[in-house]
Amino acid sequence: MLVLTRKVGESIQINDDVKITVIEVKGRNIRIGIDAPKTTKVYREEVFLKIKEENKTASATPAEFDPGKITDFIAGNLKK
Amino acid sequence: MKYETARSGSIEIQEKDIILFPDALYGFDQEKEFALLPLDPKIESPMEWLQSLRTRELAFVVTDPFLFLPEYQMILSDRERTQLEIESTESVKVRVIVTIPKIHTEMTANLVAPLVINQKNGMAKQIVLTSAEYDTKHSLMPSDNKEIS
Repeated sequence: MLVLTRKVGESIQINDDVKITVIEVKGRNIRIGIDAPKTTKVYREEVFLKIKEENKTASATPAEFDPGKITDFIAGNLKK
Repeated sequence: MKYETARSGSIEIQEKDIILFPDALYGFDQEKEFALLPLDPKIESPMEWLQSLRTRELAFVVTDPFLFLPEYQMILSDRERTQLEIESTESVKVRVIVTIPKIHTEMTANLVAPLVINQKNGMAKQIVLTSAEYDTKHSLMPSDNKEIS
């Protein structure tokens, strides 16, 4: 991992089109500005952790799960 | 080819019906090959199994999000389009993973990370939406039930 120090107002340039700027430091919080093309997706890491967690939970469908019951139940929520 | 599965028993999958996730699914780094199977061959259901072809016990309940949320939308990045070799939107199939807890009426769909499948070549990817309006636990409970509770 590349580790470097920046002061408030200083930036890091990644490739030609992504710029990350330290805007403000307040105690343990750091406000960061990201300039990137619209097609570059920027996420908080927690989003990925949440999705991993959800996938794991979803993979454990209870054994007593009844497809017929679930289907009847869900039918009421289908948009016609 | 023949596969043994825990949920659907012994199944026959043609090469062209294999769904390939080159980046695997989040949290399941080794799981790249899947097939869509009926939830129960005896009934018609808006849900299907996304069955792993590597691990017999691994299967996810998935559904078509547009059946529940016609206004559901996503934007694929150029990178995602290129990766899945998507030429036209018509060839794209979207599924979301459904989580079914012990109390099955509390089932939810993960709208943040839909599965985008290019039906033309079987390439797929679990993409992550940046839109803040969707939840990983979107309730699939019918709205009339919701009012009672």
